[in-house]
Amino acid sequence: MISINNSKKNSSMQGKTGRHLELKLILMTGVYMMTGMLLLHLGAAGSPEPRALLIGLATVAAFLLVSFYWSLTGYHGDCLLLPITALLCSTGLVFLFRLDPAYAVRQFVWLLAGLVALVLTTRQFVNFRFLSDYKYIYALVGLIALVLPVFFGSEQGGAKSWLDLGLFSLQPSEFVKILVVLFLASFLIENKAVLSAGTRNLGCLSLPGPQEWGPLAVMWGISLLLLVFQKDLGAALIYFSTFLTMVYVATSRIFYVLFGLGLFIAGAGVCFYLFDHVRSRVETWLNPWQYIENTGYQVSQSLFAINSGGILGTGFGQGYPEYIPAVHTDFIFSAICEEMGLLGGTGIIILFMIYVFRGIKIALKTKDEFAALAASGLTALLAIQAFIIISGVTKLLPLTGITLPYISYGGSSLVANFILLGFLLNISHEAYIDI
Amino acid sequence: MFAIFVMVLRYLFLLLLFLSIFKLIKWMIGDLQEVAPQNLKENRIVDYHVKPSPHETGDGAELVVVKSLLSELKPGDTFAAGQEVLLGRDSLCSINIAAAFASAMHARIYLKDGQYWLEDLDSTNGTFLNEIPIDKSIVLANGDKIRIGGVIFQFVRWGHEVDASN
Repeated sequence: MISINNSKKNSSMQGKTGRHLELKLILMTGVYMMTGMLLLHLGAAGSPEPRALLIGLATVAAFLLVSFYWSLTGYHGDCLLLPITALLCSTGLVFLFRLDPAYAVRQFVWLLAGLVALVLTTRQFVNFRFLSDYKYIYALVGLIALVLPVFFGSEQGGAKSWLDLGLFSLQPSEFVKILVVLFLASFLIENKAVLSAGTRNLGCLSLPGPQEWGPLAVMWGISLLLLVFQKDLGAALIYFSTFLTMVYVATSRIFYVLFGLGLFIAGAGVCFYLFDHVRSRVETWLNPWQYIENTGYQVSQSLFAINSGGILGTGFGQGYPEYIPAVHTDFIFSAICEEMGLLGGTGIIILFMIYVFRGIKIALKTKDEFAALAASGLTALLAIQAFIIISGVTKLLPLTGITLPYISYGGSSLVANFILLGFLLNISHEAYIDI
Repeated sequence: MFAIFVMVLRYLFLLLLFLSIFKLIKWMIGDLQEVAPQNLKENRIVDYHVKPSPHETGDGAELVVVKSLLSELKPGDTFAAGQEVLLGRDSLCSINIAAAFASAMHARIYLKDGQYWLEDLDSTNGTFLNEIPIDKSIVLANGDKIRIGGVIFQFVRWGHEVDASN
């Protein structure tokens, strides 16, 4: 098979050249991050922070090490995704240092754990296809992981979805997201023909029988009920949108999307009347100024912060993001907008867009249906997460507390998103080495 | 002086974020313009002359001629699929289809991750899987019919759960 070596030389984005490019882009990210860390070191934001430079260097080294390891083992995964992730992570780390160094140090440890998880994913699951054979095991594991916090969980910020493990607490719903995508991908592939054609007719619509959509509906009902029960509205919204996206990608029937949207609107209406916390969220969204003393305080502070940033921002360390509650997790985007302005905020959004673009490209490039559907599901998962929280803090949509992927403080979310990245890379690895 | 230095650093921080983004986008556009697929084909053909050695064959899959307009290939003729099978008019192909409707290198069937894939090598008249022309590599299932011009092969894979009706 000499041909494989020949063909690799022709494409600039793959193999050795690709990894070389990845290394260069990560070095560039390193220069960016070290500028931020130098500012922190000099005390541009509060008191001088002696650990900043060291942690910055260690982070760059860790990313470089991952890239170097891949080039050593001849891994062909996409070479732009890791630099994008590095840019997002380093922005998050620099801003966490600026907001609260204690969180930044913890986030640094989680980041290392995330990179280890990434390397393990790209090592152990390179042949991810076998994963499609165990879909009911995921469904079971996912359900157990979702149910556990109801009984043993602790409540943080209105959502009861954390498991306290002594040293640190874990949020199982972050990991269940990936399991749900893998389950849906293999389930939809198996039943694709029936779902898209339908076996029985209902008026002018042909619908599949209950044995095809039954398991989907049951799993869906249970997980949504649990999420409502745990009051984790953001996660419920993510699950539902990812589910609709994947069903549409698999069947290309707009009927399912419209039906799902109808269900969602009905569910949202019911929630609005049943749950006080949902109602207050919507009322705050419609007019935060009326509730500025209590429920609207967070969003209005966020809007003040974004506004005071202007186009170029107040300059790193010169704003007052401390006034926003939960600024290190859900509202970190507002802090970035305040101190780096419209440009900084747009930069973050562009980075997420490039990430999604690469994800869609991977899904298109792969020849296998399961891989394509899994890649589009994982990409949709990340895109929806970023969209929901960014539109929440800018008051485009009602606020639901979720983390901004790779940037916000949050260990489970960071590690889970690195595993997601690992799966995307594995799919692209297979597509690139293909013949 | 120190204040100016810090201010410069602040704007440098923002500038570097955008420089990195521009670099990323620059490479991404380069990737879009990549014309590798055409170059790839030329290189590939040279190496196809290596026939699969006999000990590599026999993974439990074979191609059976179902219908043929040629005297060389008779219905019932069987070929082991092995690691890779090349179909075409060229005498170097492991399944030689000596007729005008076949291109020199017409199609190939190869084993990857435990599954057999059919690929059309940019043939003039196309390769049909169950009477549907293929444009990219596609997984073969037991019972699939592969048609090249006037020759139809049936793909047979024993002891394997994948079935064409699925």
